[in-house]
Amino acid sequence: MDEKKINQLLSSAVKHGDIPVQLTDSIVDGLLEHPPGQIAHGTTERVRAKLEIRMQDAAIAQAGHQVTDRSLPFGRFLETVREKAGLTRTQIARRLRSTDTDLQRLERGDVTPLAMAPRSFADVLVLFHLKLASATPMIVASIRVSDSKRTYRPAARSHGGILREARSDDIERALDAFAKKMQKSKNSQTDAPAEVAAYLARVRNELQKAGRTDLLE
Amino acid sequence: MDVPEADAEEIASDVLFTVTRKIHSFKCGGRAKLTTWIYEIAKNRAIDFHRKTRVEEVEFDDNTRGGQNRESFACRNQTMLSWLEGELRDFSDADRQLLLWRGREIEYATIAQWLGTTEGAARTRHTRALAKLLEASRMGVRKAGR
Repeated sequence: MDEKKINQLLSSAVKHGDIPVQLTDSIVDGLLEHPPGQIAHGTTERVRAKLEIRMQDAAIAQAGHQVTDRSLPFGRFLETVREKAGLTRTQIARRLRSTDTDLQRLERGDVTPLAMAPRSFADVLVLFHLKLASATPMIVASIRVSDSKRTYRPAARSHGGILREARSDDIERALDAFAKKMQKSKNSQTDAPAEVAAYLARVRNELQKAGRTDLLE
Repeated sequence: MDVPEADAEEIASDVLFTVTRKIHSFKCGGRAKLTTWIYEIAKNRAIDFHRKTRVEEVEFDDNTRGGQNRESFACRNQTMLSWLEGELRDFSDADRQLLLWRGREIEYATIAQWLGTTEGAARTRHTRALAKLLEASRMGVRKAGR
């Protein structure tokens, strides 16, 4: 064995952790002061972005475990998880390649998930670690609540003098709760309507394409 | 740590994420500085990466080249490793670290600082230690499992 091979052997042993190297404060200080390589341009920013994504994912996963009510309209579920995770609409919208306004409309129930492209909806499921089966009752709830809100909103406005531009989140939540209650007493049907089933089939395809079959169970 | 740049970015973000999660277990004023603690996490992540890729490299070699280039994987050969571990036991701590760090191409000047010596002295010490190791390999001394 020659010197080169010995050094290769030593290097490999350290690299693979087969022989431990001592790491003291002075050694680490030295390595930080004279790093063996240079950090490429843009690396710091990319690492920071990756770290932010990891932290957001962890926060969403943790918050998702805490929100167990699957009778919530889909948008309200997203909003509850997002708020529990301590994330802003802007952060979530960026992850979904969407806008704050679109996300707000989805959270409030101004639009139902069915208005989204199946691919975009699949992205939401992936981001919120939500299985398709869990999302189904929430989509149905969204549609029903959204339909009811459309009916009750003008009534609320005319009776309460609520202007469109003055609609606060509190009023929206109150409308949600009211619509949900009215739907419960009026309609006990729980099956997903045909349009939802068709939409979910397309979302299923998107999840399969993305290799997220774990969300199909 | 000899990790390709794209993988290094993943590992770096993973390390920082671990740091944010485990920071409560770091003892301020304990046996190591925060930077050393973080570096240790980074080193372990890099080792995990190399161990994972080592398996893949060997499999690639075996499947595609019929194992003809096995010699290039001699450095990872378990027998060689056992031999090296046995030999290194006969070295002082400082010489052992010197050999290992030089194997990772750390500058003599940096190692000299850690050892509290001059660059020239570190170079001489390394040359002697390496010569001793080479001599042992030539003599075919096998101390593995001793």
